[in-house]
Amino acid sequence: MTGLRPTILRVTDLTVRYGQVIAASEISLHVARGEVVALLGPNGAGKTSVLRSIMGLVPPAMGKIEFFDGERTFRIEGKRPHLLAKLGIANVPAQQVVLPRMTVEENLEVGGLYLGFGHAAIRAAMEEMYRKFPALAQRRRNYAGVLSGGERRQLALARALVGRPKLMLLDEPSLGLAPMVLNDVFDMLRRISREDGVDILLVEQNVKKALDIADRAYVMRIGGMDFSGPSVEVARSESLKDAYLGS
Amino acid sequence: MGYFVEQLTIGLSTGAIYAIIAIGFNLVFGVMNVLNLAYGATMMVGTYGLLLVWFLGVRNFWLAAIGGIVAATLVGLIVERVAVRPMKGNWWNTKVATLGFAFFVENFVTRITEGRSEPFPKPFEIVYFPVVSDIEISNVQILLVVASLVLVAAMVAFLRKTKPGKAIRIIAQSPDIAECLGIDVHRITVLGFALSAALGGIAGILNALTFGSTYPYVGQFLGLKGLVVLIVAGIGNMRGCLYVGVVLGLLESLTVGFGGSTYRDLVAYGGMTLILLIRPYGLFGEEGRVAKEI
Repeated sequence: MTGLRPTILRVTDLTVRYGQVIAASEISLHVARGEVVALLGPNGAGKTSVLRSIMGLVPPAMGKIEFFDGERTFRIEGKRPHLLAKLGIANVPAQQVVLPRMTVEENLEVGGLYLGFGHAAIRAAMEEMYRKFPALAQRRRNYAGVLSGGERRQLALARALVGRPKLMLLDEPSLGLAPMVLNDVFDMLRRISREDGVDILLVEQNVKKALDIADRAYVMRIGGMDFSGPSVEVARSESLKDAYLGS
Repeated sequence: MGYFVEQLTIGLSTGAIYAIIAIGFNLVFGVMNVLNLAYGATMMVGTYGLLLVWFLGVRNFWLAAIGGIVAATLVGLIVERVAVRPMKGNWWNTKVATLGFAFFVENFVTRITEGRSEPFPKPFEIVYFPVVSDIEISNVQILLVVASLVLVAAMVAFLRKTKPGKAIRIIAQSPDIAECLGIDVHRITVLGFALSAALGGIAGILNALTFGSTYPYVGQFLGLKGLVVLIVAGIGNMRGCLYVGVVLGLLESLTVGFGGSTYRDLVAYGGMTLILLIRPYGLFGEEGRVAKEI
């Protein structure tokens, strides 16, 4: 199935290190057009480091990262994040997801402002987001710093979407969310993938939720890749339990 | 009564200068979280830049002032390049490097000027206009107050409405998010330093205009006053800088007028200590942004 679709992101033998500490070594993974891919693993496995390294927030120590924007393939390892943003990669971090000292309106606006969109296009995208996320529409003039955890998460997603990304890197969208809100956020992710045509690479602690929406999953153990496969198989596999419980 | 009001007008114009200094400080420290201790030196460079252009034969104050502001801006850019960027966000290293840069520039200027206090040219003959009965206000004082109001308003509008201004505010909240939104954080940081140094140059020139002279270490005193205003106002708040700058100028000048100049700095530093005891975030500051970082 995935073989027929173009690969939008391909990571080959990526190693991330902070000084002497190796956070992840020789990680290979790919995301195909139309896919939601989950990157799973216990705390400290290096998932977030892989994500940050793909975005250029931490330059990789070794390895190759390729991004296909629909026309050309770019080598992006070590490129600064603002250049990747312009290529169509959006990054939604786990913590500090919004700009607290700006209003909801401003948060959305800056999602497109620095990516070369005109005012009219940004306006239109913002109105679309208010329809998609009605909670935000009521909060337009509020500072993002006063929003609830769920609202912040929605705002971060909406802000990324205003920039019309091709690929979204999501770090733990479930972090700090109440169970009810959690379901909403994952429903939204599924819609973003299907309706907006945004491919998603997702790092997540909530394995069940992640496997529910992902087409495929990779499982990391401390510092390295353990195994991967379609979500259904990963969910059933014994190695998944091993990865989390240790064996 | 006349004496009291005279002190008030002096205080108003000094306060206007403090306000400009503080908003320039605010731009790099409050907004971009970089404590640039070479900021005072940039103000001094502004005054000597003006003098240099003047003595090279441009006997027009405004043109020479542009030369001074350009010189200050260039020095600000050099500070960013040699004393801030290589420190990669390390607080202590940045403080030490920028302070060292300030000493270097101040001693360099002392060396070539032999450390004398230099008389400063005037843009126009100073004229005093009577306001009521025996109270007068000079055209220089009017210039100072108007300049500070215009600069603060321009700064607020720049940060709120323009694309680079918003980028500066985003970087203040999270450099990582800024990069991920497509903002070239390095480039915008350089712009912030350039603007801050230009404001510093303007403040230095206005200060020299008030006193009729400049000297190589003038920036130390001005820079510290700017920092006090910024801390009391609350880090990051532009309009707070205007209010606190003006009030500090007024209080200082009343203290000098009625108590003696010995007590002048007591007002600034004592007042700052008292206010921080009651409000650690400053008068207009946001919770969580404490001056302890200094």
